[in-house]
Amino acid sequence: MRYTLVNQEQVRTARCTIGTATVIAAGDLVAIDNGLIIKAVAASAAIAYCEKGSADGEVVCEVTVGNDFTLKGTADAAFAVTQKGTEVDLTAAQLIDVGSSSTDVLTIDISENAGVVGSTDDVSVRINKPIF
Amino acid sequence: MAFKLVNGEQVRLVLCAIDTATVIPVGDFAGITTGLAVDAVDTTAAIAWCPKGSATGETVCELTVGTDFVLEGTADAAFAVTQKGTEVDLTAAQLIDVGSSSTGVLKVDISENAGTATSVSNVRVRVNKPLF
Repeated sequence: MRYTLVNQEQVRTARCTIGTATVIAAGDLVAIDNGLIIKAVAASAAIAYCEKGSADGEVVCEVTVGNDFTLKGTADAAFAVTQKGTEVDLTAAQLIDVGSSSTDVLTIDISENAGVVGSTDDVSVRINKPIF
Repeated sequence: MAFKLVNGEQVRLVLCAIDTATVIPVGDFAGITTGLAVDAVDTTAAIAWCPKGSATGETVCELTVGTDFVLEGTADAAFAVTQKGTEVDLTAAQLIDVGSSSTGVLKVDISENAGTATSVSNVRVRVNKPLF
């Protein structure tokens, strides 16, 4: 599920090794396993953002460093203002799991633009557990 | 064991009080005890980098703020790609304790330049538990 940077955000990235058979969709969140970048899953304990993704055959990809940026993504349930500032998880489909706080890899935006009540779209989050 | 900044990195520093008898070698990590900067040890729970160190007689020293920079240091055992992204400790001699994750004060770089497999030199890390 593709994430996008919130307006004008700038990110710092690192070039990281990835298995040639690993495909990351542009805008996906990623994790690291045995030194190689992989697509993040629900159980990932730390994540980064891969804005450009990585195609089959690539050996390096760019992933974000740190968490000083805000992303917009899709939640698995309707946004509510009470979710602002809460630590939440990622679903297997890379939706923002607003009802779950286990891995806590994401934090929901606290701003007035965090999301639209009743909608699952365009929920703003920050990485809470960056891989580096 | 002195750490050094990776090329082009810039750091934010703060002046901190230090006891006149306390010596911090250039490039060492520091902790804080009862409000005073001290040379970090293996049990230090949070650290900052002290780029200029502090000699006997000094009453203030400069310490880094935050974690948004990458340092290069020496590990206590050979680097392996599987260490990328792992939380690791500092040894008493301020080596990167790549086999230990107790204090977790450092995190090993995830990039393709994180280190050279089988070498202990020039392993890149980020502060994972900053003093401030």
